[in-house]
Amino acid sequence: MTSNASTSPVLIAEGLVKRYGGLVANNGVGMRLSPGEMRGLIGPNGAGKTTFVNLVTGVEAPDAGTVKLGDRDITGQEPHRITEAGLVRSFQMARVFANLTTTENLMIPWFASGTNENTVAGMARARELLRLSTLGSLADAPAGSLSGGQRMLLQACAGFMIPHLTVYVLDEPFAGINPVVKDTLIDLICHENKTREITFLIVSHEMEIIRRMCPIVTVMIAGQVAAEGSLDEVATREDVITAYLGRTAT
Amino acid sequence: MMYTTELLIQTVISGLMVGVLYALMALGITFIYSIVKTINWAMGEFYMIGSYIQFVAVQFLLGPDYWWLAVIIATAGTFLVGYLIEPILIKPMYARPMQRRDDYATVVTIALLLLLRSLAVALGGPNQYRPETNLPIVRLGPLPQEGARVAASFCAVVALGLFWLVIKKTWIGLALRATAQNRIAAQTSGVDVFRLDATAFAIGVAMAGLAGALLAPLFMVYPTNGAVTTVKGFEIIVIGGLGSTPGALIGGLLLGLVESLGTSFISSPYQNAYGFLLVLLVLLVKPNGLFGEKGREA
Repeated sequence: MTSNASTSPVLIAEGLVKRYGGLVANNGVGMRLSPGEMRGLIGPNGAGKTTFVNLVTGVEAPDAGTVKLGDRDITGQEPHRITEAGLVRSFQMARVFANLTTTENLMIPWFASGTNENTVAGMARARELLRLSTLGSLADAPAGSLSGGQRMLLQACAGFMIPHLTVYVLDEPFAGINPVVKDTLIDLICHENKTREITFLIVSHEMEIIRRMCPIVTVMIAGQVAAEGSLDEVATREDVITAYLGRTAT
Repeated sequence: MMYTTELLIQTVISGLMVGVLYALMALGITFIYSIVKTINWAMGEFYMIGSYIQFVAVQFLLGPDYWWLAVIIATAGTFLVGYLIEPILIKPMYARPMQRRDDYATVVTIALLLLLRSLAVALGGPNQYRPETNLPIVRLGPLPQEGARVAASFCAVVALGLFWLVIKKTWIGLALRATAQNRIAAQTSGVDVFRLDATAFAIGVAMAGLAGALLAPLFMVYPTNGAVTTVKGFEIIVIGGLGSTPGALIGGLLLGLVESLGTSFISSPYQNAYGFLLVLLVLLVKPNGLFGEKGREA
């Protein structure tokens, strides 16, 4: 590429393969993310996006291929080790701890990180994140009482509580939430990206948001990377259009 | 038979006193289940280990004056045994597909039960032992009570209080509550759930060990002494609902009360039958137990 080859990638995935019986969900998927980048990951349903996220974040082990975070090989490690290394993910269905308060939800990743168990600093950070995500008034409410969108916000905040977070993978963070919460979440992501140089991989079907946030998007089709480039660039490619819309009659 | 108020009060007091020990046992079972998602069928054998440690410590090392120190040693000892056994025996369950885990855990914990019992026979023979106690008779309410019995109930209440403090006020308690709710979310939050499994298993079996140590002077020390208490523990789980902490506590007290009332006012040889009547009654009215959630999946 161009002259900024000096910045080495924070995340390198190479040749990831995952089979479920006869179905090859990921067939040699690779990706490189630069520090502070906001990458979009799009593709039609069943393209293998979530499988890729699972392989990268240790929820499932790949049949082949490697994942490196910086210099560290994290392929197939247990999820908490990968979180420890600084790579965190969110889930399509917000996995919050319904019986715990929103603040307690945020303190779990803070304490679990182990490197920094200062409770006062953690509480301050939790308050800041709750304020940024407009959940400030719900600090002591059980997470089970939050709306679907608020749970998504809370889940995103939980990842930001990890002190040494470097790469954050968000799996469909905007799915099924109202426009106001969507904007809050976008602002929150951009804020953390600017202030802490966190790298994001955002899986989404919301093309408008992806266009706004991600200079480069990766397109997956049928378990493989089909294209990489700006959204407008890849959107003109015939194979991408065909995968989304089917073959045209002409 | 006289139906006096005094007798009623007496019966209720001794029922509650036994009840807290039952609750301790049941809480151990339910707590392990809520974190590790496994029923530990060898629970009674940890009760047995606790009672043996208590006997050895009181009889050969400390003497009856330091019974309380022996209780602490017995509890810590069972905790340690649990903490070391869990990663070897229970953890491999997670390497298996979801549907096989229950089968695996059942076979493994029943094997552990047989192993520990045989070990007790090999080491101490089939004999019954009883650690000495010099605790004085205590007047509690209208009638006197054995000192060891009062001490056992008191210690059980203290242990339950400690457990509550750890769960509600400490970081490890927070992590345990989170893991009980959602394992994968806890794991992706960075919680080492496998180490937590070992801790939870150890806390659970330590409760059984504590009960064994406390009841050693009353119910004797022998290889199968945990069997009856385990059965009662599971009765309580059915009454209170699997995985429910209030269910274990209230179920335990309820079982103690029912047994005590039945023994005093109906007929004493049927002591162990009253619990099963209670189980049948609860199953009839609330099939998931008093505090139980919906049926388990798969």
